[in-house]
Formats: sequence, C-alpha cells, structure tokens
Amino acid sequence: MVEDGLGMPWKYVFRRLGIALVQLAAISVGVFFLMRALPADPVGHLVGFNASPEAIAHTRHFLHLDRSQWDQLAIYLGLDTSSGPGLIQGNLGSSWTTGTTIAEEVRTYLPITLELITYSFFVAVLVAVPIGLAAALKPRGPLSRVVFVYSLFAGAQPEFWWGLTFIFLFYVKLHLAPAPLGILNPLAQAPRTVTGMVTIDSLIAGNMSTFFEAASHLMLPVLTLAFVLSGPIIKMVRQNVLKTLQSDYMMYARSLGLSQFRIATYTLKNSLAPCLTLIGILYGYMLGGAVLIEQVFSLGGLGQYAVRSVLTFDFPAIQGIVLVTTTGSLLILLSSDVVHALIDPRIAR
Amino acid sequence: MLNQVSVPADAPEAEFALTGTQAVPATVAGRAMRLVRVLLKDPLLVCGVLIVAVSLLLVVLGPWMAPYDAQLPTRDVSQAPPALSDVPSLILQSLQGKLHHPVHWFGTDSTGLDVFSRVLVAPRVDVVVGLAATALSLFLGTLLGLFAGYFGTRSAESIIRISDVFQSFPIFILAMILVVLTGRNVIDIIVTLACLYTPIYLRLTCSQVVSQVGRTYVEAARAVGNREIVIALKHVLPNSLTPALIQASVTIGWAILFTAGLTFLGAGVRPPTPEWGGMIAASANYLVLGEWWPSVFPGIAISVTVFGYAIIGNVLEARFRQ
Repeated sequence: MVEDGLGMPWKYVFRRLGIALVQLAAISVGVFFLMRALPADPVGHLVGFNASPEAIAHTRHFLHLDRSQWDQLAIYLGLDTSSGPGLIQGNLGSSWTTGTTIAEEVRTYLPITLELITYSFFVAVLVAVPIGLAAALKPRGPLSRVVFVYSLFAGAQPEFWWGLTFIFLFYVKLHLAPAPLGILNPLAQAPRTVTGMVTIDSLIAGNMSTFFEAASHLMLPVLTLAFVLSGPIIKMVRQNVLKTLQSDYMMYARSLGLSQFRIATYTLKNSLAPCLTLIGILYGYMLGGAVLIEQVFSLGGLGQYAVRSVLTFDFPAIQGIVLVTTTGSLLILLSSDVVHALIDPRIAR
Repeated sequence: MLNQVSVPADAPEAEFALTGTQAVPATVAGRAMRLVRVLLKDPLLVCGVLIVAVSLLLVVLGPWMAPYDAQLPTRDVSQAPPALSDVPSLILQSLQGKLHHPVHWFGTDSTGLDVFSRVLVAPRVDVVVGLAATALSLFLGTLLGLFAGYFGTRSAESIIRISDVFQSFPIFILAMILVVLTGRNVIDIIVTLACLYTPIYLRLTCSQVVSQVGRTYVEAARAVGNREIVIALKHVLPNSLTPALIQASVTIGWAILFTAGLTFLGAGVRPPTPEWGGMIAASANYLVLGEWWPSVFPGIAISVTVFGYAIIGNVLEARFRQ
C-alpha cells in the first residue's frame, strides 16, 4: 500500500475514485435511456393539447428528439458538438421548460438543500450519539429499552406529516414559528449570493437580522428531519458501542487496568467509525430524499426542483439532477470510507 | 445462525424429544409453534403483530367496515370530528341504531368525504403496495442472490458492484421518474419499488449463500449424488433465507412510507383514490386554517402502521443477531 507520512491510503482513494467515475458514466447513460424508454411524451407536454403538427415537428427537431437515440446520446455526452458542448465538455444542457442552464439552476437550488440537511444531521448526531452511548452502557436497563423503542419509532415515520403537524402546533396554535413559506420572508432583503446558503451568506454580509430570519424559518424543517434521522443513527451507535464493549480487545484493555476514560475513548473511536458510513449513506440519500420536507415548508431546494422537472417531463433537468446527486452521494460515501480507513486501516486493503 | 432461528435458547430440542407425549412434537410445525410462544412474551413484538394484523384485516374488510363510500362526497363539508366527551354516547346510540346516518368519527374533509371511511379503505392501496412490492423483490432478490452466491464468486463480486450503484442512486427521484413517466398506476408503483428493493435481498442472500457453500451438509448432499441446482434450491436456499425474511417486514414499512410520500408529492396514486399520503396532501392547505382532522388521522394511520412493521423486523433481527 502506498502511504504518505499521514497514513493517507492514496492507492485506495484512487481506486475508489476510478470505480466512482465508471459508476457515474453508467448512471448518466442509464438514466438517459431509461427516460426515453418509458411511455412519456415530453413534446406533447411542452407544446400543449391544441398545437399544430408543425409546432410539434419544430419542437421535436429543436430538442433533437427527431434524431435516433444514439445521436441524442452523442449530443448529450458531447461526442457530437455540432449543436453545442455536451457533458464531457462540462455542460449539463439547458432546461426544456425555463431555458436556463441546468448548472445555473442546480447552483441556485442545491445550496438550500445542503443547508437544510447539514443542519439536520448536525442536530441529529449531536442528540443521537450521547443517547445511543448511554443506552449501550446499560443494555439491560429500562433506559436502553426506551431508547430502542424510540429509535424504531423515529426511523419509521412519515416526515412530511410530522412537518405539517409541527406547523399546526408551532405556527397555527402557538405562534412560535414563522409561516412555512420558504427560507426568507418574501419581503425580506436577500443577502448577496456567495455560497447560496442564506444563513452563511447573511453572516458573510454581516446582516444579523436576515440570519435570524433564515434561522427561524429553518427551525421547524431541521427539527423534523433531525427527529426522523435520529432513529437510525441512535440504533447504529447503540449497536456498535455494544459490540465494541463485548469485544476481546476491550476485555484485554480492561484486564490491563486502563483508566475508565481511556476505555471510553477506545470505545467511542472504534464504534463511531461504522456509524460514519451510515451517516454518509443517509446524507447522500437526503440530497434527493429531503424533497418531502422541502415541499412541506416550500424551501425551494433541489428536491422540489426535481419534482417540478419530473412532473413537466424536463429530461435535461432530470438527467442533471440525477448526475449531481449521485456524484454528491458517491463523493460523500468515498470520503466517509476514507475517514473510516484512517481510523481503521484494515478497511483499505 | 439457523440453529438459533429454529430453536430458541430457552427451549432446547432435547427437552421436547424426551417428553414425547407433549402436544408439540419435534417437527417443523412444532418448532414454529414453540418459536411463536417464546416471541409472544415480548410485549413490543405483540404490539407489532397486532398492528400488522389490523392492517391486513383492513386490506380484506376495509370497504365493508367503512360507514360511508370512500369516494362519494357527503353533504357535510369540513365537519369536525365529535368531541371526545361525546364519543361514548355516540357509540352507544349507533349500536342501538338510533342515529339517522352514521357518525363522521374522524370528521369530513373540504369536499365532504368521510375521513374515517377513507382511512379504513386506504390500506387497499398502501399496504397492498407494500406487500406486493416486498414479495416481488424478495422473490427476485433471493433467487438472483442464490445463483450469484452459489455459482461462482466472480459473479457475486460484480453483482455487489451493481447494487452499489443502486445504493448511490437518488432513490426517491428515480422512483418519481419511473412512476410519473409510466403513468401513475398502482402496478407501476409496485414494480418500481420492487426494482428498488431487489438489490437489498440480493445482497443479503448472496452473502449468506457464500457462507453456506463450504459447509459439510452441502458436501454431503453432493456426495449422495444430488444435482447442483437441487442442492442450491433445496438445501442451501432454506438455510440462507432468514436475514431476507426478517428484512421483509422492514421493507413493507418502507414501501408504505414511500407510496404515501410519492402520492403526497403528486407523483403517486391519482386522486380521489383513498390513500393516506394523498389524503394528507389534499388537506395540507386547510391545516393552516385550523382544519386539522383530514390530515392528522391518515398521518397517525401511516405512523402506526409503519411502526408496526418496523417493530417486527427489528425485534426479530435483534433476537437472531445474538
């Protein structure tokens, strides 16, 4: 294994990056053909019901839908650049419904989703790790039982319904939360776009009132998502800490008479590594899976963009969204595996 | 693994073999009954079994138990459910047949549909999709996993890589694409979910089969002269099924959540078909006006049902992992 001074498993990273590239290529071609194989009529949807045959033919020609599927693939991938750059040249294409480039639309919507899910994961992990740890330390106690039931319950909930219920409780009844109408009040001044994440941009601009505005709008969606996410994370922490505590090397550590603190450090380190993989998988899933919460709170993130694109048969947008979210989740999985490998070098064989 | 599955630790085989007069002989059915008896001591599991039983009952009897037609509006629009204090007397009166028309136990929605009836009929979509999608993916996944694991490690490796791709795929978006572009029928949702869940069973069975092929019973079956396909199907498959079967209960719950979520977004079953997620979507806007009942009751139904299926899967998993 090639390693530098830090013990970074470079060979492993490069091999995984290579596999990820192949997977991405397979997915982009796969989605391309999948959408064209399904019985949907995007042209009819775009031109409307009473369009003339000429308008239909013109639209078909304009969108290259009159060419063979292989020609269309070549145009999409950028092997045929007669009508502009393609995927290989770094162009995701333009939306069929709005005309804006997909890259620009993703740049608007993705940061909102990232903002939502990053805060949610932060809260969920912050709550889940101590709870899971406490439950695992006394596995036969009543607390452990309660935590087990809670993690089962939270992990099996319709988050969109909880979001609505929270809106009813905290907005309609208690007036503690703002109306579920996006990240900022429609009348509020948006900060200059730097990262696209409103909370961070407003901090960069030094605009505290916008920051608090955005934070108060994010409060309920983050609470809802963190509640649902805490279930599987608690379960994983509890299981792994239990497994670590029962392992031979922990028995050895105890028999050596190491201090409680030392033992607790070992336990945490060895049991949190597998949890990292789970969090990576969940985070990748949430890139596209936060759509229900986005819809409930009208946050306008990537998920809602995906719903809109699917319902309007906007093929380039769908292809772009799938590619971006898959790239994201593959990179997250890879980095969580690399961190895992740094903690536990046996992984990167 | 399998030993622990069929014979729980506190019911050793020998005990039953010696006291041969007992009602439960050491047969497969007898072992199953013993297993059931041990498992029913867990109150959480009993809860799960009850919830699942009710959901299955509603699939069969739902439309007959509903007091109103689930798709036919009544003349009472946006009627609130009866106050909790009135419920006992209303139950009494409806049992005595003194009421002119049945009570709207969960109120009515903004179009006058009876929420209670719709909640009772909805499992015909939600639970049926969950069961069918899980059965289909269980069947496909275990068969593919068996052959991948049994006939060569190279095919197993490549199949694992392919399911890796599926895992990194934005599942929710994929499901939306498939369901919307194929026309939003129940069958399409079932097939889509089955495709999404097949890799899970494939992986589970494949890894289990790989751990079984080197066992002596496989060698013995081969020595007696069985054909490979017979060994795979008759001997290895039953010994590799447990993890997949346990996962099935969890998957049914996921599929119910998924169906409700898709319909909530307008990418699932078409209205006015009674479906829990669709009911919540249709009345979400009225929630802000204080009309909570048309969305709260279907939500509770989803929450409890999925929890029930999750309990069974997770409790069994926790038991058999030990």
